[in-house]
Amino acid sequence: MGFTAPWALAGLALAALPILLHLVQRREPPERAFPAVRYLEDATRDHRRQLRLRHLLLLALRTLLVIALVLAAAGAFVRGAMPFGRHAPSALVLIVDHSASSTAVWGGEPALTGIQRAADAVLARATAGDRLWLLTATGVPRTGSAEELRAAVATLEPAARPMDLGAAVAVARDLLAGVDRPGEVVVVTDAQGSAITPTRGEGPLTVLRADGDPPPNRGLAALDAGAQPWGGDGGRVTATLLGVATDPVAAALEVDGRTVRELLVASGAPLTLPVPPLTAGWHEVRLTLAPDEFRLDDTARVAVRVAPPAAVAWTPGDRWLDAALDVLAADGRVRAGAEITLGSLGRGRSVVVPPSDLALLPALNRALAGRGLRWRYGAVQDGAGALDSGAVLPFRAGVSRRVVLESATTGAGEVLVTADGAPWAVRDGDIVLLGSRLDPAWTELPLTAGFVPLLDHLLTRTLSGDLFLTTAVPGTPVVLPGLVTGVTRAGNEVAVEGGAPWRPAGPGIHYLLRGVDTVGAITAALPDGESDLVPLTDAELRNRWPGAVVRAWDEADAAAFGSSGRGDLRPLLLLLALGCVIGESLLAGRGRSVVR
Amino acid sequence: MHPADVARLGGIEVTTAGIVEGFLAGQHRSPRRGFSVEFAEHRQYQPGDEPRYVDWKLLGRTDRLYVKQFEEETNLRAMLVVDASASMAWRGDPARLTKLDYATRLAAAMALVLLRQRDATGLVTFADTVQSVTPARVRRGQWAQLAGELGAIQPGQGTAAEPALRQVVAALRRRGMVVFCSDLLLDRTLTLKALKFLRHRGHEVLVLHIADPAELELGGGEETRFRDPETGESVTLAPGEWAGAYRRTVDGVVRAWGSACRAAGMRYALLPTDLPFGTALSRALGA
Repeated sequence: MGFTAPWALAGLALAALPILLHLVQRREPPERAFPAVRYLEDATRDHRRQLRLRHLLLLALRTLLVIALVLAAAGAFVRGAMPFGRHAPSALVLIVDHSASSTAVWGGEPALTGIQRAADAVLARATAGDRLWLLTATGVPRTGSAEELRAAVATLEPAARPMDLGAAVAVARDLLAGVDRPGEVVVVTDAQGSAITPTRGEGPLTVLRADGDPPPNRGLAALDAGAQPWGGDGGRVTATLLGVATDPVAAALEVDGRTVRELLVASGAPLTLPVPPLTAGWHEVRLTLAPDEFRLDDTARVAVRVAPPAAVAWTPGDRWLDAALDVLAADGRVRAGAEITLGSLGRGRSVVVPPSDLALLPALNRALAGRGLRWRYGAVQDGAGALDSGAVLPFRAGVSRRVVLESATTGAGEVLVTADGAPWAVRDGDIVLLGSRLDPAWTELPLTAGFVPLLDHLLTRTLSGDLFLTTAVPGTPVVLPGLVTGVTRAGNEVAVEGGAPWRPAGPGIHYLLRGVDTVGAITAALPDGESDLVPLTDAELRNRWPGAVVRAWDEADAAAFGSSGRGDLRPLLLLLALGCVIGESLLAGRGRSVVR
Repeated sequence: MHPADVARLGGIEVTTAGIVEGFLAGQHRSPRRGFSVEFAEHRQYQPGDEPRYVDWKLLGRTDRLYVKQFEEETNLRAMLVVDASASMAWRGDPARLTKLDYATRLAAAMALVLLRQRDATGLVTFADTVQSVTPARVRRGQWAQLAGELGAIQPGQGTAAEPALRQVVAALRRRGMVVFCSDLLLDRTLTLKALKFLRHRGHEVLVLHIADPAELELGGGEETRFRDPETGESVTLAPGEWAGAYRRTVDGVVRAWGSACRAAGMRYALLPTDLPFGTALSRALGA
């Protein structure tokens, strides 16, 4: 037996009260002369033994009454199975998995309905003495009465995002570590494998899981639109079918809501789909499968930026540049023109490299300064070095000679590539300065496979309007580019702070705005694992969460408040006290009626 | 008049007369009016006395002239038997008379009534032994003697009614009346046996059960040790819990005495000490 408020046991001293009163009453009573003692003896002869027994019973009942009340006040409970209807005052954290997978239809109804029903059954067993928390996909524990939390559970909507139940259990256990009563964690989930992540901490854990086979499901991974922006002649998107292997399924390719192609797709290798030529601007390309029991992964989207090829002017004769630009031109990425000058400082946007005659550097610096550039070329450094990998240059390349790039103002412009930690490629306004000539005598870059993509990035993105394109899982933070001022989706624009984390609320394409210009897009989509609805087996679940008690949803009413293994003795004690009161009243009344 | 008020007026001699006067005012004359005379005493001859009452034999022996004085002889000789045991000296309320005080006053009143009817009246008082025996007479001054005896009673310790009643047998050679005044806290079997014997001897027996109201109704709530002043025995109980049972027991005792007396041809009357003496006399004398 244990007690939730052991300090109340001090009240057991009161149990001595009836005994003391009894002893006090048994002390020498006042004496009174009374001649008719023989009548008293006659009157009491038959009932004296009965009266003595009644007094002893009354004493026992009153003592038992005090003990029962004190034990109830101390919150007595028993360990082990719960033989009584009520449980001891407990703390319970109920984790409800209303992630995207809960929208899947199991046996004719959404999994969320079963989850809500099981969660409600758990909360229905709560008593006023319990401390309760509800933990949902928001990640913020909510406390309240059982009725409040039941109402919250009843109004839960699918989160359209995955849940990390392992992290949720850890949070729950942290919560319970701070309470002064036995606690347990109850997770109501569809037991999707991707959600049952390893957890930490110890304590009673009950998992209420779906019972039965999951619905067959196939979904789509996020579309890949390749390098962007696209040219005006269209492009290709690559799709991957996820989930269980099924027969080919009907799909429709849409651009901006207009179906451009209908096809059958099958699981297996990624599927590349051509997209017809599009006008310049932003487009939403979407591939939609025929609906199944889990709808949220039936559609994959990608934002596509279409822009005309950059018009580039360069001085022919540089064999490395000529070859690279031929490739880019053939691919429609660039064309001959005067919008961007490559290799020297032009009138407009320029990619500037050090002059072959280093004596011209001062003149170049003056020209750069005349354009308002805050960077300038410094001293020449010879010696082996390496370009650091980054977003613009995804690999390392050797540098044997370079001109130091200096800035008079800290934080001016943007460092695109570094060499051994020092700026090697910087952008300030519409001019990009490179620290080395694009020549193997300066850097091995022209000899590498990344040379053409680097030029493509500099010409079509860095100087033609850099694009911020990324994918994200709904609910997870994405650090926005520095100059972004707003995000818009489906016509709803919200102001954001550039450079700060931002969480897409749900699946879809969120366009990033800089003022009125769209500078990028975040495609929010479920992670691929969310399409796999196959739940973990009980053994797998217990393997991931050692010690967990696994029950089915329809066992929720029996499973809840049982992991703490404590049965509340208070109802029994109060019942006993009531019985003592009734017994005392009956016995006292009967005693009076006997002698009258 | 309430017995307590009567008691405040004075001694037995003073108060009894008032009691009896009030009582007799509504009574008929005694049906036992005497029809013969009996020698009572001598006195010296005085001129004018009828010569026939001169006691010639005494003149012959003493050479003095005495005349005989005769009393009217009744057909009733009454003997008052008063219990003076320790239990009789108890009262449940200081405002009330003790049972002994009540019994002595009642006996005195009865004696006065009887003597006024020219019934010879005697007195036996007893406790654990016979304390006094006053033969039944009807002479002048008898009542004063009886009143004096009653007023001088000192409570004894125990109760021994049977020897006292044997004294009565000896004192009443002819049929008479025995008035037994007691709280009946005694050996009922022996006492009834003695009383029945009296009855068997042809005496009219009147049992007056003197009881304090506190003996009839058990009062109080707190647990109390009740001690018998005669025997020293005690019982500890809470009166509140036992009042009903006690009442039933007392009722049973009263019924038992009444039944036993009636069965033996005796009269029985329960007289609580708060009962007015007039009412008590009426019950006692069968008015």
